[in-house]
Amino acid sequence: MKQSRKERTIVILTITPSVVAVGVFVYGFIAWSIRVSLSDWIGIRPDYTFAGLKNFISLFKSVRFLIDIYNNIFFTILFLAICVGGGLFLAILLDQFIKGEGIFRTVYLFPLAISPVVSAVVWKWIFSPKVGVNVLLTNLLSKIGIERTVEFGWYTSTASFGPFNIALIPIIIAASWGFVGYVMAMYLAALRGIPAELKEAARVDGASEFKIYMKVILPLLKPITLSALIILGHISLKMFDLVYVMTGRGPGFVTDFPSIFMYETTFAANKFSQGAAISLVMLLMVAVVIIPYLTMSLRRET
Amino acid sequence: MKKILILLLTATFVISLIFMGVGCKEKVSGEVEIFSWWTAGGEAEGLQAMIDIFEEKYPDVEFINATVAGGAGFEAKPVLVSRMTGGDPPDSFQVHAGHELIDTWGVGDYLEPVNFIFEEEGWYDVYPEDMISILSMGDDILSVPVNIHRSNVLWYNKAVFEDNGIEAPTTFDEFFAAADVLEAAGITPLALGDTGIWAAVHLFENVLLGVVGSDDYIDLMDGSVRWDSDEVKEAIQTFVDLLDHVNDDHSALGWDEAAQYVIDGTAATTVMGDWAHGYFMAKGLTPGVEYGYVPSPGTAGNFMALSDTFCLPADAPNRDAAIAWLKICGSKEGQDAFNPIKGSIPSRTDADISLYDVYLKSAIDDFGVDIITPSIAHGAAVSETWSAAIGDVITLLVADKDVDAAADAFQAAADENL
Amino acid sequence: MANVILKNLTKKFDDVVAVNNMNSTVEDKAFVVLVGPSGCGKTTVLRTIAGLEEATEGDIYIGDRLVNDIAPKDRDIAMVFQNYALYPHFNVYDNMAFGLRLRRIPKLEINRMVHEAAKILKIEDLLKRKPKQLSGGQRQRVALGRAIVRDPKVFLMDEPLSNLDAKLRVQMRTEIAKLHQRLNATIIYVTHDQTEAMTMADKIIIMKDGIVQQTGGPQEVYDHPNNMFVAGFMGSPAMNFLDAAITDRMILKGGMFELNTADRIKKIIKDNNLIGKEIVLGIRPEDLEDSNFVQNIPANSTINANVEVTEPMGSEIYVYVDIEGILITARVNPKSKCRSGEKASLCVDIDKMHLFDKDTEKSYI
Repeated sequence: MKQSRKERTIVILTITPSVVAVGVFVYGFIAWSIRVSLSDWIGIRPDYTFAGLKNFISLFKSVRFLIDIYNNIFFTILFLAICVGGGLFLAILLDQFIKGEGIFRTVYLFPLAISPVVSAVVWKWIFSPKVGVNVLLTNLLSKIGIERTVEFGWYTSTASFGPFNIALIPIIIAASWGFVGYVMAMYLAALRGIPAELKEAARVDGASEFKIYMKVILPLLKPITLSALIILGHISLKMFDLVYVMTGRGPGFVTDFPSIFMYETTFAANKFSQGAAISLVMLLMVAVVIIPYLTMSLRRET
Repeated sequence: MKKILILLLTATFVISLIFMGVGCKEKVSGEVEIFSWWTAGGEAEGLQAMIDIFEEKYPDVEFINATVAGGAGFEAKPVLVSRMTGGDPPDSFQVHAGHELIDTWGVGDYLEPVNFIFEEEGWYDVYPEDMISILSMGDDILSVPVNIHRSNVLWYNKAVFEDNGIEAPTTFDEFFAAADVLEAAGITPLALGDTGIWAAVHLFENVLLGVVGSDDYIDLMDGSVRWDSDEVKEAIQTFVDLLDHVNDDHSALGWDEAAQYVIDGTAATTVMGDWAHGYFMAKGLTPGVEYGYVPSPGTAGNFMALSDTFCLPADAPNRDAAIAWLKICGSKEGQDAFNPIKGSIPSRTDADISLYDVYLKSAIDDFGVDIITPSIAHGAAVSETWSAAIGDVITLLVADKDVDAAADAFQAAADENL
Repeated sequence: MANVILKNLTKKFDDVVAVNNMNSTVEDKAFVVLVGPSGCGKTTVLRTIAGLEEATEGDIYIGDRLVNDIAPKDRDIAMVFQNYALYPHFNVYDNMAFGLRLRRIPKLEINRMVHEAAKILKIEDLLKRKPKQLSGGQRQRVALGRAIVRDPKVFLMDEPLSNLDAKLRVQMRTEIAKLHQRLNATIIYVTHDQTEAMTMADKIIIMKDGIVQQTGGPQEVYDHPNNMFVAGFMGSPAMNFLDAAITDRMILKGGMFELNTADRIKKIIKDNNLIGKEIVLGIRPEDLEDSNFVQNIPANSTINANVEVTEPMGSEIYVYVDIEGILITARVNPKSKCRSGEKASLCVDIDKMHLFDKDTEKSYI
């Protein structure tokens, strides 16, 4: 198709502001962060003295950062697994056209409408060793005749399986609670978009209900799964507010994340160069997730 | 005759000066924006008491109370940093005296020295020299203090101690002996609420002071005593031993929840600054009746201090009004309005003692005679960068309890920040 | 191959009766078309035979086997859906092979069967493509291919041509008819299009409101409709209906016409004792001709009326005339000079009239 000169002018005029804005506020600031991360800027007053890779080297020598990376990896894996698995499960349940579906859908989606800071406070109480689920479990046990005080440490626990800190479990639950409904909504919309005839065709073709889901429905949901993994993946790698309010760094950094480290390094310790280095490592981690997705979807479009 | 003439001239000069001053004050108008994170109970009312005085004196100035909620600067600090570095400073902002003031803001030349206010108001006579020195970078005084908090206090539940027939401990030996008695009775000896780690740092600095003494404590801050020395290791070991006697949900709690354990009697003591006194009072308790207070173990004769101050940004948009505000902050009238409500003691030596309750009176007395030591956890003793590094070491220490590793990490942090 | 027998088949959705007590037999190797307006229950019947819906009452036999409680996959049927229902994530080959794989047929055998079916449908070049890379007609072929590759006893087709454009529809119609001959299979075909029914079926089952109206061969239901519904539904343009009374002398008398009756009609009148009664007269459009093109017009066999519209079709002209407020269609000689707004005289083929009961709408025989 040939564009007239006028059309081309309009196209250029309409995309220019966003290109400029993205260029400055995203790529410009990324470049600036790179510059800061290579400097010796400690304290409020900017100091761009070139310091080479010093900040990155000290970062990877830092015990705290190593713990953070492990925490974030384990958190991400479990968070994604629970959200995608749970979301798919709930969506399939709701797709059976059960009664009161609208209510369930709203209930599952509701956590998304709550500020992470608010839900973090509530989850903090729920998993607080002295007032939360421990009390509930103790009471339940005594109901069935077992007099034992449940004393799980939850997020105060410093125990771990290998590099996996079990204090992360309450945070994973809290975060998944917030997003499982979102994934469910994505899946449910996709399931509703699959024509009923397709299932029926498979049924006539000889597939059991299980096979129908495995061979026909799930493959069709693949793009949704991928989108969910990408969206949740980058949320997970940048997870901050929920964890910061719910537990903070935790004893021995058991619930520390790179985002918290970055925030505290920059704004509590005033180590802006180090903070920029952390944020760049986080950017790289997110890029590892996002860039394959972007190239893939771009290739699909052309 | 000559004398009379001189007297007369002097008198007219003084009177005109006074009138000039009055005239100046009346000319102050426009607005003034004061930045703080005092939004919680007690502190917000104390701030308001000072604002009331300001508004009465300067009715033409619109007072903008720019508080940013979110507890100890969680939200406030980034906002303040971006405003200061972005060329949009408030007219004055809250800052802890000591290294937080000097290393963070003074070194960057963000502040205008306020020596002239001290001179005009005659404050050199009413502020202790130690106080002025922690406000100063070289000869420049960088801010005006409004209060003093004492942070080395062991608060205890009197009934619990009486029921178990024990006295408030003044040394670590006494503390550990008392702990055994209390634990036998099913009571947590020491309540700690160190979510966000600063309360653990707070406890640690009190243990450090209690073990190494004030001279070495102060010398640690300039590197003349090493952090991996045996006496520091002893302090770390004592801190680790103490952790065996704290509530096991400490990392889930804030300091106020820990104080509540003491009120409830599930715990016997807590080491906290005297804002805990404000908390107990707010719960309707009476000092000396339901709760007692002694210097934390080994720190009798020392006064671990921190001070809230207000400063004058170098390019404050309403400099005259900001100076007017600072004069109220430093005045006897302002401090006597603010401190009894906030639960802290005035930073001046001429306060009206009758306005203060029994605990604050004792703190005022101690402040006059004790050795003043600066707090690490509250930005007085070391820079924020160093303080954060110490916090990171203690975060690991409370979990792995590795004394030698902590000592080495403390020394590494000192090396990096000295 | 097999026959399909429906006995007292009733299907209810909550309180709505979709199929009401249906009794039908589909003979082995027959091409049976279920036809009716939308909502008549024809698709429900098909889905019930497939096992996608459970019969509320009654029995279904396929090849003399009661299949009420047998899962779709075990009924030995294949279904072609209206929207093709191709698996979008499979290519054509896998779409066709899917059912075979589920039946654990050896790979080589599957390969042979798929290629054979693809050859029959001329889609061998498309085997590697995904459904979305195919045109509508190609998808239709793949959907058919997926059905025939399984070599089932019975094919069930649910409006398979309704998404194709008119030209393709005609083409596929003949191809499906040819396919039927080649496969020698039983086909049950659902459509709302009476033309498809007429052109393809060995037997037509006409339904309305869940009830079978008539079953029979295409010509039979066209020539001898059971009732006004069948008469009106089969044939395009539709049959004209006029109110008329029967006089003592067996003349049909309407407001604007009087028509003599032929011997066949007279017999019906006598048999049914209709003298003096009001009836509904049915005349197919092709039984009305411009009088100018009829030689030897019998007495009392014309209707004079105002022409409302004319539609020249090339081979003929549709003339719409107004008789007492009812629009009557006539298919007349293309050379006719009938013009809208003018009077026309239409000659009725009085031997081919249909008489219906005014109340029950049933056909008098």
